[in-house]
Amino acid sequence: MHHPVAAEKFIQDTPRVNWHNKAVWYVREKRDKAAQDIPEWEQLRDYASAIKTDTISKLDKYLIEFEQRAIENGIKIHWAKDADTHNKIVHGILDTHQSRLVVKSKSMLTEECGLNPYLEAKGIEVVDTDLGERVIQFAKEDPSHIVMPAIHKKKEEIGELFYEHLETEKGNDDPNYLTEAARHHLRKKFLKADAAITGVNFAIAETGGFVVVTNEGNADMGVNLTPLHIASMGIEKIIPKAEHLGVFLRLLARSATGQPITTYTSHFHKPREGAQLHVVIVDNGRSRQLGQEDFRRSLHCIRCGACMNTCPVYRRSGGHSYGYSVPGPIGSILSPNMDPEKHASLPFASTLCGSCSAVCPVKIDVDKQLYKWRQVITEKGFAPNKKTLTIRLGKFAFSHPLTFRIFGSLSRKAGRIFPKKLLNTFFTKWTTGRDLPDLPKKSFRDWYLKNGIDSHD
Amino acid sequence: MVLIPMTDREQILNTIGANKPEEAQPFIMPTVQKEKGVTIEKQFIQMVGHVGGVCIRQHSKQISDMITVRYPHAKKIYSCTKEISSIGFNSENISNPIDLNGVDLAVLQGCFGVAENGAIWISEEEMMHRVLPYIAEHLVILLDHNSIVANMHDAYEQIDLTQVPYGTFISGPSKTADIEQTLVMGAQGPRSHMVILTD
Amino acid sequence: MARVALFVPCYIDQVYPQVAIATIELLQKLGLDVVYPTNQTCCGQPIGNAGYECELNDVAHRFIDQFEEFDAVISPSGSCVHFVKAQYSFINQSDSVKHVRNHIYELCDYLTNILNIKNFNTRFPHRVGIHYSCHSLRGLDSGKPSEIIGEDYSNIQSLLETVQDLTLVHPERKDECCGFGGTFSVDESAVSVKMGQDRCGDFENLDAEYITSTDMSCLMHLDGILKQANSKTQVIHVAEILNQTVTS
Repeated sequence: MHHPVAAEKFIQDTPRVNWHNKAVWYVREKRDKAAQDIPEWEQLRDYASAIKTDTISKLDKYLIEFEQRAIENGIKIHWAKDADTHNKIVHGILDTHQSRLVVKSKSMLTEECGLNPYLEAKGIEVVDTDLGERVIQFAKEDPSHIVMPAIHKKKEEIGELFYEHLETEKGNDDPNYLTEAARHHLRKKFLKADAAITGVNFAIAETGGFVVVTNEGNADMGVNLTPLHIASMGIEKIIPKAEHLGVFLRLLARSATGQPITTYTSHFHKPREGAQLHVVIVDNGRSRQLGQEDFRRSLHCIRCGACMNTCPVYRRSGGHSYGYSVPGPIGSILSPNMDPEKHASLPFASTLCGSCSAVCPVKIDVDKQLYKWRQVITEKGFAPNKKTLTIRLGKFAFSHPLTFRIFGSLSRKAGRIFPKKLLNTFFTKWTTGRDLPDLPKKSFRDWYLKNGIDSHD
Repeated sequence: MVLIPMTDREQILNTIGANKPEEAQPFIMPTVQKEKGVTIEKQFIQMVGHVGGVCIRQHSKQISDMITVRYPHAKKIYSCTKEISSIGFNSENISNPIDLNGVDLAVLQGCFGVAENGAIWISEEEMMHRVLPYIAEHLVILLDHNSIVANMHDAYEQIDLTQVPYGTFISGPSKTADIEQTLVMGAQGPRSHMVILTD
Repeated sequence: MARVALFVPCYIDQVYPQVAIATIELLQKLGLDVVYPTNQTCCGQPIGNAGYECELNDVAHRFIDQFEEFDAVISPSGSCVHFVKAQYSFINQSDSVKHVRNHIYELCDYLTNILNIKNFNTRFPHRVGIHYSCHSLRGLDSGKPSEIIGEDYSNIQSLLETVQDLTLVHPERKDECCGFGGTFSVDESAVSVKMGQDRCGDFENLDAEYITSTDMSCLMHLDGILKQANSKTQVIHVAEILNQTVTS
C-alpha cells in the first residue's frame, strides 16, 4: 500500500477525519493526565528501557530460562520461526483436541500471522471476543489501531453491523445498548467454545509464566471456561524477572488509555486442573531485526499504542492507510523489516516530529529509526517517490555555491515574473492548499554583501 | 552426509545468538520508599471509584446484611469468604465452570490492594474457580484495610508467582470504550464492582 | 571576544532574507561580532530526510569547512541546527566536525542559555501564538515537550515574555506538529496540508494576529495556508519580533 494515496482518500471526508483526529487525541490527553499523576514517570521510562535493553541482549538465555520453567509448570512450549509455522502449530493443537469453535482475545501477533483466515479455511470458527475486534470481524476489516481496533468506526456503523449480525434494533446506536447485545452474543460463544487463544503481554523468564491484560475480561473468560488455552507470543515479550512487571504495568495502561491499570491483569503459570496450556513462541523476523543495530530497539515495544494516539499523521490518515497489522509510527519501523519494498512508503509517512519517541513508555527512538529506514529503503532502490535527479541537482547546487546562487536568483526571478496560475500548475503538490511564498528580489547574501559588512565594521 | 534439519527452536536461538548485541547490564530494581497508612488507604478508596467501582469501609459483622440490602435481586450468590454464605445453589457441586453462568453475585476475599490503581490481587486459591470473578454479574471483594500497598513495585514484593498457578489484579468492573470511546461497564464480566474494606 | 558565525539556511537566504537580516541585526545589537561566511549553501537536511544521506558527503564537509573556524554558529532555524547536531554522524567525526556539531545553536537557545538575555527592550503590541518547531522542541530540548512529565520551560516563550505589550495566546494542543516535514510536505501533501490547516485553525480560533516560531520552514508552510485562505493571521519569525525597536 502506498501511504500517501490511502491517506489522501481518508482525508477527503473532512468531518470524519476531524472526528477521528479528535477521538484519538482524546486518548493522548487521557494518557497525559495519567502520566502526570506519577512524579517518577520519566524514571520509570528509563527503568523500562534499561530492562528491555538487558532483555534483548540476552534474549536467547531468557527464552531458554522461560521455556524450562514453563515446562516445569506444566505448560507446553512450541517454537515457530515464522507466521506460517505458527498457524500450523496452532491448528495442529486445535485439531488434536478436535476444537471447532475458538474464542480469541486480542493478539496483534495473530493478526500479524493471519491466523484467523488460516483457521477459518480449515473449518474452525474463530470468534474475536474483544468488542472492538468483534466489530471489525463483522465488518470484515483489519484493526485500525492496536489498542482500539474499531476506533475508526462510528457508532451508527456499528449499530448497522449489529443489526445485520446480532439482530439489534435498526437505527439503535446507543453504545450501552450495543455493548449489551454483544455481551449476550459473546457469552453464548464463550459457553459453547472448546478452545481459547490469547496473546501474551509479558512472559517472565524467572517464573516461566506470562501475563495477559484486558479491560473486558474476555481473555480470562475464554481461557477459564474452555479446556484448551493457546497463547501466542513474540520472542520479544520476555522480561527477566517478576519484579519488572511493576515497572511495565505502571507504564502500560497509562500510556495506552490513560487508565492507572487495565481492569484485569492475569498471571498464568500453570494450566487449570483438567485443562491444557500451550505457549507458541514466534520469531517471524524479530531475530533478524535484533541483528540490525539501528533498529533493534524497536523490539522494546510493549504495544501500548501511545505513538499512534500522539502521531499527527496517524490521526489524520487512519490506521488502515498503513496497510500493516501494526499501524502508526511503531508499525512504520517494524514493517520494513518484514518487507522493505511493500512497506517502503511508511517510514516516509512522518514529519519526524518526534512526538512518538517522547511519548513512548520504553523510550524507543522511533523518529530516529524512521530516518534510518528512509536511508535503507532508498539504498535498496525502493524509495516511494524516486527523486534521484532532483537530489543530484540539489546535491550539486549545495556543493557549488555559485551554482546555488545562480539557480536561486533565476528561481526568484521566475517566481516574480511568471503568473501565479502558471506556477501553481508546476507545483500542484505544494499549491493545493498552500500559496507559494512571495519571492524577494535579493537574497540575504546580496543584502549582506551590500549592507551587512559595512554596518558591522 | 545426511543433514538433520534444524528445529525452529534451534534456528531461532541460533539467529538470536548470532544477532544479539553486546550483553547489557542487568537492571537492578532500586528500592522505593514505602508509604503506609491512612494516605494510601484514602488513595485506594478514591482509585477504586476512579476505575468504576465502589469502595466502602464496613465491620465484618455487618457485611452480610449490607449485601442483602445492596443486592436484593441476587438469587445466586457464590461466596468464597467466611463472612458470606453462598445462596441459590450448592457451590460444592460445580464441576464444569460453565455451570457458573448465571451467578448473580460473586464474593471473594482479596489478598491485598494497590493504592495507585485500585487493583486487588486475587489468586486461584481465593476464587475456587478461575472463571468466577469474570462470569458473575456483580462482584464484591472483601479486603483487610491493613493490606493496601502503595504501588505496583510493592505489590510484586507481596507475590511469589512461582507459588501461584493463576492470579489476577482486578481493578473495577469489566469495561469497554470500543464504541466511540463511550465508557460502558459490564462489557463481558461483572457489571459492578464493590470493595469492602474490613477491620 | 567570541567569533560567531551566522548560518542562514538555504531557503531563508533565498526566500526570507528579512529573517536573516533581523537575526544578524539583533545579534549585533547585543554586541556580538557576527560573520556570515558567504560561501555557505545548505546543511543537506532535505536530501537526508528524503533518504539520500549517502549523497551528502560533499555537502556536509562543505558545511563544516564554512564554520569550523568560529567559536559558535547561530541559526534562525532549529530544524537545520538539529540536522547538523543529530544527523551529521554519517561523516568522519574529525575535530572540526565535532566542534561544529557541539557549537551550533538555534537563535533562541543561544540567547537564553549562552547569552542569558533577560530583556530585549522591545515592544510588539500584538496577539502572538507560539508554534513550536518539533526539531527545536524535541530535538534540541529548547522547551519541555507536552509528552514529557516534568517542570515546564520554553526558551522562546521566556524570550517573548520580555517583549512589551505582546500578548501570548496558547493553543490547547501546545506543540502539535504543523505538518511541513520537508519533502513530506509534497510527498504526503494531503496530510501535510490538513495538519497545517488544523494548526492555523488553532491560532485563528484564538484571534492570534501572528504565529511565531524558531523555524521559518514551519512558518513558510503555515503562511502558504493562511494566504490561500485569506486569513487575517500572519506569520513572523521570532527574530523579527525580538529585533523590533521600541517605538514609544
